[in-house]
Amino acid sequence: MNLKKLLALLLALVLVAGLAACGGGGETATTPAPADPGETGTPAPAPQDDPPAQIITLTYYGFSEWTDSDPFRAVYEEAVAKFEAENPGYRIELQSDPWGDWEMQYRAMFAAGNPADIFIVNNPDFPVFANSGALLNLDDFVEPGYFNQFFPGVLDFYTWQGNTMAIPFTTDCRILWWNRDIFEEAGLDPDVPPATWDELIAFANQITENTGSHGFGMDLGLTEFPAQALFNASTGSVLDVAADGSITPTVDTPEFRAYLQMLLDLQPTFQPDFAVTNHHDVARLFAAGQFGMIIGNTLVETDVYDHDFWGQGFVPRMNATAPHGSFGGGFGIAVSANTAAPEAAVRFAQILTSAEFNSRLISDFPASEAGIAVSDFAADPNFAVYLEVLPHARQAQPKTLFYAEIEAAIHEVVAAVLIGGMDIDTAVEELTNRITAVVNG
Amino acid sequence: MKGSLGSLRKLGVYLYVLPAALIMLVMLGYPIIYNFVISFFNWTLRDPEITFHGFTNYIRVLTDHRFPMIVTNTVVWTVLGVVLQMVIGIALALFVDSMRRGKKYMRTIALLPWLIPGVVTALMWRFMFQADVGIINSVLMSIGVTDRNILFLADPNISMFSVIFVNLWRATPFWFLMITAALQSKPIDQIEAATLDGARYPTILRHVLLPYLSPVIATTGVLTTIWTLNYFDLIWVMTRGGPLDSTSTLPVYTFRLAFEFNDFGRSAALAVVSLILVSIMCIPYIIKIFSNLKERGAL
Amino acid sequence: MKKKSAAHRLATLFIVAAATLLILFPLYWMLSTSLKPEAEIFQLPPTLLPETFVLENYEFAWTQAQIPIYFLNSVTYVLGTLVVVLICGSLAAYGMSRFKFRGKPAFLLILLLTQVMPMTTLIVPLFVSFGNFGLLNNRIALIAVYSAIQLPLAIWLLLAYFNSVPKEIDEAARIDGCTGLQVLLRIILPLAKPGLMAVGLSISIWVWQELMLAMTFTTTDAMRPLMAGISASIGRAGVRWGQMNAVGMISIVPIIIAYIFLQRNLVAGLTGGAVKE
Repeated sequence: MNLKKLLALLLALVLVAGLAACGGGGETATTPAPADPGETGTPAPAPQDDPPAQIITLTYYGFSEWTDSDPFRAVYEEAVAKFEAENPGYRIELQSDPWGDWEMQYRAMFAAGNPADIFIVNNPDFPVFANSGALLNLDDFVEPGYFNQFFPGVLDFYTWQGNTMAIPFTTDCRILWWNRDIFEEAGLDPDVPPATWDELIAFANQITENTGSHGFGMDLGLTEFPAQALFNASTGSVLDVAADGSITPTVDTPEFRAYLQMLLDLQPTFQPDFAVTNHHDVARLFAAGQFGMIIGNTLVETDVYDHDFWGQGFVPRMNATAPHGSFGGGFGIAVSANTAAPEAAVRFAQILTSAEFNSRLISDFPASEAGIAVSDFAADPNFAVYLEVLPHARQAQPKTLFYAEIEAAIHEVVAAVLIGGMDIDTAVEELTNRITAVVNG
Repeated sequence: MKGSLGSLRKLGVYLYVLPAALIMLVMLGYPIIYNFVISFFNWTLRDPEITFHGFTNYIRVLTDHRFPMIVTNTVVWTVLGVVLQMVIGIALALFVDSMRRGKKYMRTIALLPWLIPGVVTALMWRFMFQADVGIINSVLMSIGVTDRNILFLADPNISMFSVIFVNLWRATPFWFLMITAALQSKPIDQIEAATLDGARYPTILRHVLLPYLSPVIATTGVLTTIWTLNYFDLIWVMTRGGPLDSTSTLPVYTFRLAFEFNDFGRSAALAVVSLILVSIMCIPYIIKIFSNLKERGAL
Repeated sequence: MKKKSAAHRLATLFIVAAATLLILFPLYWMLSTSLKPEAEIFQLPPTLLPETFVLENYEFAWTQAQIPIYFLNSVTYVLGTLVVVLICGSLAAYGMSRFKFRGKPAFLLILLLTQVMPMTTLIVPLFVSFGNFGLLNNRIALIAVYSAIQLPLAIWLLLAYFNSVPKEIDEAARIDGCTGLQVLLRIILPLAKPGLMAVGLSISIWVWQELMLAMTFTTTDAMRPLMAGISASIGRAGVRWGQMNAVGMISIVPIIIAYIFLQRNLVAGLTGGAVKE
C-alpha cells in the first residue's frame, strides 16, 4: 500500500468520524448530556426533599472577581455551608474563571452543551441561553410571588416567553461625576452640574476652552453602545419588540438623532481614543484631574474617593421634560435545564440571591430593595446618588436573541459618525438597515 | 520470499511516520473536516435546532457588508507586514554581519522581541500608544513633532499601520534569526574573489549574497506569510478589529462570529473561506519551496 | 576590507543606538510601569523612573492572580509538548530522510498545508468534541493539540537537519548490524543535537506564548497556563496597567533566562540544517 492510499483511507475514516461526531454534537445541543458527568458518577434524580441515596455534587460557576476573591470567597463558602447544612446529601463545588476568560468559557460551556448546574448569567446573553433550552424554568420550583421582591425592571431581563429563567442577582447604573475644581477654573458654578444635554455640551466646551482639561471624558468602549447612559435619559429606544417577538428598528427618532448630534457637539471636548477603552482608564484620568466630567459606574471608585474635588449627580437628560435615565444591566443566577437535582440547585440559587447573602457576594448593587437595605451601600454617602439613580436605569436595546450583533452595529455606526465623517441621516438609515439585516438573518 | 520481506520492510517505513500522522489526523484533520461540516449547518447558540443549511452561511458571509474590507485588511496586514519584516530583517542581518565589533550584542537584543508573548507585546504597545497617558504621544508632543495627540489605535486611517508596526517589532527578529543563521556559512571564497575583482558591496549583494540566501528567504517567506495572515492575539488584544473594522482581519472576524455573535455555522464558513484565501496567497511560495527542495534532491 | 570612514562609523553607531532604543525601551517601560502605583501610572507627564517605588503589582500577581500555579502548568504543557513532538517528529523526519516512499512529497505538502490552517478552525469543533468525550480541562488533550500544531514545522526542520547528516555514516552502521531505530538513536540524533535543541526551543517559546487554545480548553485555575492567567488581569472594567505589566514581566523572565543559556543553539540550530549544504 502506498502512502497516498493509506492517507486516503485514513481521511475517509476521519470523515466518517467527523460526521458521526457532528450527529453527536447536534444531539448534545438539543438533549444535552447530564452536567458534570466526571465528578458525580451517574446520580439518579433525587426525589424532592429526600436526601439522595448517594452524595450529589452540584457545580456553581461564576467569575473569579467575585466567586474566588477576597472578601467574597468567604461569603460564598458561608452560603455553601448553609446550603449543605439545610440540604443533606448535596454538595456544592465552586468554580470560576477570571473575567477576561469568563465570557468565552461560559459561551463555550453552552456550545458544548455541558453547563454547570448553577451559574451566573449576563443579562444580554440570557435570551440566547433561554431560547436554546439550556435554562430551567424557575416558576415551577419557587413559591408563587417569590419574584415580587426583586426590582421589576431587572426581573424583566430574565423572563423568556412568559417563564422566569434566572433570579436577579445584581444591578448597576451610571451617574455623572464632575470635577468642582475644573468647573471653578472654567468659570462654572462648582455646585451646579449640567442637567440637560444642551448644558452638558455648553459646560464641556467651556471647560475645554478655558482650562487645560478635557471637558467630557467619553468612554466609547470597543463594541458597546457608546455613552448609552446619556441616550437612556430620553424616551428613546433603538428597537421595538412586539408581543409576538417580531423586532422593528426604531432608530429614526428625534431622540436618536439628538443623541448623535450631542455626541458630535461634544466631540471637540474629548478625544475618541478607542485605545482608552475601559472604565478604569477613564476613571483614573478623571481622578488625575484631566476630565471635567465623566459618566461612571461603581467600578470607578478606587482612586476617586481619595480626592475631594468630585461631585455626583443624575445623568443629564435630553431636555428638561425628558425622564431621568441611566444605563444599567446586571447578572442573574440561572439553573441548568439538565441538572441532576433541580430542586436543590434552585434552593442554592435562592440562597445566593437572598437578602442575607446577596449584597455580600458582589461588588455591584443587589437587585432587590431588601438586599440593598442591608448592604454597605445603604449607609455610605458615596453611593447615595447611585441609589437615587438606580430606579431610572434601563437598556435602550430591549432583550432579543441578537444583542451582541445589534450592539456591534450601533457601536460601528456611532463610531462612523464620530470618527468616520458619516452624516446623521446616512447613519440613521445605515443602522436601520443593519439591524434589519441582523434580525432577518 | 525476498519480495514479501521487501514489501514488509516498505510497510515498516510507514511506522516511522505513523505516530506523528495519527496525532495530526486526530487533532488537525478531524477538526478541519468537522469545521467544514458545521459550515453547512444552522448552528447558533440562540437556536436549539441544528439544521442543515446548505450554502446559506457562505452566502451570508460573502455578502456581509464587512467582507470586502476584511479581505482588503487581511491582504494589507499580511503583504505589507511580511515585506517590511523581510526587508528590515535582511538589512539588519546583513548590517550586523558586516559589523566588526558589537555583533554579539546586536544579535542578543535583536532577537528579544520574538521571545515576548504576543499578548504581552500587544498590551505593552497598547499602553504606550494611548492618547492621554501614552508615553509615545507624550514624547512626540514634548519634542514638538505634533501639537495634539496622535490617535494611533483610534484613528481608522492610522490604526492598521500601528498594528502592522507592532507586529513588525515582534516578527522581524525571526527574519533576522533565519538570515543571520544562513550567513554563518556564507560563500566567503566567492565574496573574496569578487572583492579582488573590484566589485563593490551592492554588486556582491546582488550577485553573490542574495542568490545564496534565496532558499532561506523562500522558506522564511512561506512561514511568516502564513503566520502573519493567521495571527490573531495581537490585533485582538490591541483593537479587536476596530475602529470601524479598520483592523479587522479574517481570523479576528471569524472569532467574533463564533464567540461574540454566537454563530458557529457562519464562523465555520468564514474559516473555510479564509483557508481558501490563505491557500491562494501561499501557493506561489509553496511551489517555490518545492522546486528548491527538488533541486537539492531532498525529495 | 577598506578602512571605514568616520561617517560610516557614526552611521553604524546611530543604527545600533536606534535599534537598542526601539527594542529595549518598551521592555524598560513595562518594567518601570510595573513598579509604579496606579495613580502614578496616570500622571502627566509620565515619570521615566518610578517616583514611588512599589511592589504591590507583583504582590498581586503572585498572590491574587495564582501566578505560581499558572507558571507550573505552563511548564507542564511545554514539557509534555516537547516530549511528544521531539519523539514523533524525529521518527517521522528520520523515516522521510532515510527511506524512499512514493507519498513523501504529498506528505510534505500536507504538512505545509496544515500550517495554513487558521487556528480559529480548530476551536469550535475541538471544543464540542472534547466536551462530548470528557476531554475538556484535560492536560493530555491540550498537549495533543499543541503537539499536532507543532509537529509539521518540527518535522520540516528536523528533516532538513537529518538530511545534512551524510547517509554514508548510517550505511556503515547498518553494515555493522544496526537496525533503523538504532541508527536513529545512536547516530543521527547525537549528530543532530543542535537541531533538536533549536526545534525544542522554538516549540517551548510557542507553547509558552499560546493563548487562544489555552483559554478555550482549560476551565479551572488548576489547569490554566500562564498566558491565560494574563488575561485574568483584564478585569470587568478593563486593564489594570500596573498589574498587567507586572504579570507580563513575570511571564517573560523564564524565556529570557532560557534564551541567555540557549542562545547559541538557537541561532546555530534553527536554520543550520536548512541552509548548510
